[in-house]
Amino acid sequence: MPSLGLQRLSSKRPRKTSSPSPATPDGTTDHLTPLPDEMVEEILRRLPLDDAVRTSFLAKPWRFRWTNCPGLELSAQDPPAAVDFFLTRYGCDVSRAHLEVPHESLGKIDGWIRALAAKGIRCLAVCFIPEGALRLPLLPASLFSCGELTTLMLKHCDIPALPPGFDGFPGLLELKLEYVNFGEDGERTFEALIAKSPSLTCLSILFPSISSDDDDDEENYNYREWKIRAPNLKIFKMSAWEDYGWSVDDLPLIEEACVQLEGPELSRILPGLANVWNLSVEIADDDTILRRLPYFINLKCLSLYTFLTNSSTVLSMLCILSNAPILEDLRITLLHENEETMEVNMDELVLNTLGTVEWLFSRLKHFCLDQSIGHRNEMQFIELLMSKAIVLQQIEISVRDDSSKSLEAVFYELSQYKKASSSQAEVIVNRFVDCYMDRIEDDEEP
Amino acid sequence: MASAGSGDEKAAAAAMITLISSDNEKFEVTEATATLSQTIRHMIEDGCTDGGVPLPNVTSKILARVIEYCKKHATAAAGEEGSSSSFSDAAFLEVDRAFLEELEEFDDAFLEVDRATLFDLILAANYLDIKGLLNLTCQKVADSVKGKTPEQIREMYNIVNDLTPEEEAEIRRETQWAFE
Repeated sequence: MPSLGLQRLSSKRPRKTSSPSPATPDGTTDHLTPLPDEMVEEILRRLPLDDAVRTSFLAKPWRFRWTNCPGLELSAQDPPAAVDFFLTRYGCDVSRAHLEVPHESLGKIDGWIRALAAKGIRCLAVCFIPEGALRLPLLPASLFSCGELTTLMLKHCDIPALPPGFDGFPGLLELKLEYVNFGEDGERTFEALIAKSPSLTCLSILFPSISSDDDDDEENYNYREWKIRAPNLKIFKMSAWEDYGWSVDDLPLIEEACVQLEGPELSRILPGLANVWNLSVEIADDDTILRRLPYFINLKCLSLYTFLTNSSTVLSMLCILSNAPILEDLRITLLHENEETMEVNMDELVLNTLGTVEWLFSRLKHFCLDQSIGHRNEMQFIELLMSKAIVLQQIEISVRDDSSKSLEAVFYELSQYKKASSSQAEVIVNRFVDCYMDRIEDDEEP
Repeated sequence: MASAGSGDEKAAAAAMITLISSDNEKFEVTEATATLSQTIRHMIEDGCTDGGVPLPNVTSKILARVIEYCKKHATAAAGEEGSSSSFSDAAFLEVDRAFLEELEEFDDAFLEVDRATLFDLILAANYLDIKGLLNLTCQKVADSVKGKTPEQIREMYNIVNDLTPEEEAEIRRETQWAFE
């Protein structure tokens, strides 16, 4: 019965019954060289570039093998000489390259980017290595000819104006800008770069600047108002020292955002993030109170970096909390710079700002307070939270070393508060020692 | 009644696949184990597995090892599917981690073979299109080459250097950076 099927099958496959490698168990057979190209390529792709290139030294058949192996990449470890050689000799497309550009290679970067654009580069990182107090090197405009980019990271450079006729990066999904400067008419370039990358799902802006040589008086420079427009954005991170006039257009698909800003622009940025699920935000500006916020209808997880010793920041925090009706996870990390220990009457603030917000903390399951010093304001806030959070499961406080209160004293205080949750929430009090935490339970162990 | 019974038997038998090595040895494996090989998966989909699957490129010695690998990893794949719905559960995560560690130990032990066997496994993994096994075995060769000089690699793999001194000099000049 099976013979028919077997025959049909066998005729499909090449009839090769001999074992692929000669059976010489004496250990003198070269198994590597006769391996089919596909498998040699699997091996070469798993090697750092210098190891892959060194195989050209093994024997004649190996001399150009790496140059025809698809999928080789340039990594941050490859020195400029390696990049030069690789881009001249390599015969296949390059999908990924991470270029670290030292000062002495500035003259080469334009050629490298042109070569990579011709090789269909998709994931590119160009990180200039900062050299003392010299001004940032200018990124060559050839970057804008890399039309197939899906991921782009730029670090420590000056971004040139977009060339006329720039079609954008239609396939760009991820853009990371770290310590870059936008020169003349920088707001417009910055805005256009993002707007011309309509597929962006992940945008990360870390400490950028906008300044051209002509800005003599940077202190009083007025930035033109502009918008971050990225309709497909899911993950958004921004940190900046200064308000560059930006705001965020509605981000309907946003899931995760992390915002750390020094200026007063937070009230212009947050409204665009109304759909966010997971938000991390620093509230350190005590000149602005965040009013007129949208409802964060999807917000489940909130991390705040703030002071509880200042009535403006406390008010701003309460405004966010009162607009987050389905919040489940709240983590507050206390900042302790420039601290004036001002007593804030938490009850009064809550009464005045929140009035009758019934849902405050109504879905909250986890609360964590980091860097606590056990200050009265902190304890008042916790007391308020515990009195409202009816489904609270866990509350975790990590107390700083320099707190005048012992862990036991904080624990005792917490145990005295009235709890709204019917099932008792677990209370954990830790010692906060930078990243290392000592659990109070652990202290009791021998 | 009788016909229904034989139908069930057929279904049970269909879940087992017979693999036939180049030296005509037969191996019975479950479909889940066999389909880790994309090549065999396609044969099953095409309905070409009645009477067994001849694998003329794989000896019984190598096929036995390949099946050992597939059995272990098929269980792993089934475990992953089973727990995926409750991935947030800490207990399940713990189980998964322990299982992954066990799998890693298995892989390490599996690679403790002589060089000829390792290369036969690469060829078999490629022919049978088993991604995990190809990845594992090629990584092993890559790791053995990493950071070595050409002389060391030649010695390790019995490669005969047939480059002329002129060629060697030329390559060395161009790739000086790779030796620094």
